[in-house]
Amino acid sequence: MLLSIEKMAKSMKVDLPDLITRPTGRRFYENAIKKLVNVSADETVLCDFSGVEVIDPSFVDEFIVKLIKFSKTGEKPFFIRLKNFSHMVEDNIRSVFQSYCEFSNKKFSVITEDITIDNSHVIGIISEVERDIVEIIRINGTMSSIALSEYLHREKPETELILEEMYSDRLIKKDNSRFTIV
Amino acid sequence: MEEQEGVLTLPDKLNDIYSFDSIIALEKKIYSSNIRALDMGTISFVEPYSMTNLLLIARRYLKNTGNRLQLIHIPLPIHQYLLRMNFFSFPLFETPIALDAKKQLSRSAFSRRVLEITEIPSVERESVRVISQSVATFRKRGSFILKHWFSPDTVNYFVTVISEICQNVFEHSMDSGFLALQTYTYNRENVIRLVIADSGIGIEESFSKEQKEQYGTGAELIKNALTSPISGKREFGYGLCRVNSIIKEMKGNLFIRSQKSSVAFVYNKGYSEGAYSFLKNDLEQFNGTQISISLYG
Repeated sequence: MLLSIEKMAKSMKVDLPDLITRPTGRRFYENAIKKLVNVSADETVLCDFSGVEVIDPSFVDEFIVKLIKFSKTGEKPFFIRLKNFSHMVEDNIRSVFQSYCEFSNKKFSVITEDITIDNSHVIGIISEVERDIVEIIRINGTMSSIALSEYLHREKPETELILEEMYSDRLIKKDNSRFTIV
Repeated sequence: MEEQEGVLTLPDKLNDIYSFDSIIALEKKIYSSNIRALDMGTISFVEPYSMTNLLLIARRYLKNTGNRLQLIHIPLPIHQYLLRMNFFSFPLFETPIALDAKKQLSRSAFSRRVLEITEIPSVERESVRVISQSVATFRKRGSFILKHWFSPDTVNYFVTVISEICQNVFEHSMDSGFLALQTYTYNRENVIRLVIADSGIGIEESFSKEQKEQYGTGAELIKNALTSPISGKREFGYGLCRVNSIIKEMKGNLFIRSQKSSVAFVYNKGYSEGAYSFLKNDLEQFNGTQISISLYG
């Protein structure tokens, strides 16, 4: 499912290129939730930021953070992937996620379609191993836990533990014993 | 200089954020000496922080006495500048004698130097509209205003900064505030100064007693709010923290004064990590929170 922020802004009569303030973020979140009524379980929602230059940290907190939390805890958990974001959008998302992780001691991240400034496809705090997994699954499309444990030079149970955690963090998809990109 | 009854001569201290504390120290005298007019005769320069705080002083005076303060003997360049910044559009000071149209500074929707003083309302809905308008105006003028600092992200950084600080006015201060931005040359240095000031409850009052036990009080609390995502209202508050990281990135200066405390983070002097913050407590009481962001180039 495609969630075009530009189209949402237009329908809500919000002028782009800047999406700022908490109240605006809240409105976008409420609007997105309505659109996500028909999303299937484990479907990928592609959040398209074309036409947006800046989203401020308040908007990130009210819209993106809440949307990611909802993707994990809603009745039908789904996956989120961000695309077409500007450098500033990425910077502000990264800043909020980083502060959140450092202060709450929890991991928080999201998959991206475009390459980020740190040369990966994730914004947020994840371990080096998790980052490697995202990138190798992205290249191969799908991989088994055995193939991944060989690639990572780690024991299978240890690898499976990491993969399960990444799945519950909505960073990779799971199809029986195989793991696929979001 | 001989003081006239009811007139307070302002010292030439409207040219710098730190000097403005001399003016704050005089606020009590306005009430104790029944001052009705401020003599601007000695003023040589007014920068945005001092200008917006003068409005706060006048607003408080109006609220406390029901009367408007008067500005007298305003030097022509100062009068021109204040008019250009819409200073007298807010009915807080007595309107001075009108300036001849020929003497007024020209205006353009694409001003290369200023964002005129804008009132940030205390009501959420209205405030969001004003902040969005201010950001949109800044977008139109940004590349001109920031020409000495321009990189593709500089305008976007400022959009984030303006938006986040202005939101604090309606979210936390319980008051309306003022926004102003100006580029100017001072001592042969190009300066851009963004100011957002309110006369609300201040940063400390927006935190609970328990939170203050955890995060500290006065300047320590302000410093914590700038360096970690703490909030008096919700689980996390990212705004000030992000503003600080942006100013650090841009090698600018950030100054916050709230009630009796102030914090200055100086990133443009090449200090090593940790040596750039200046914390002050027990300053003269000045209601609310006033934030100044400066870039030098």
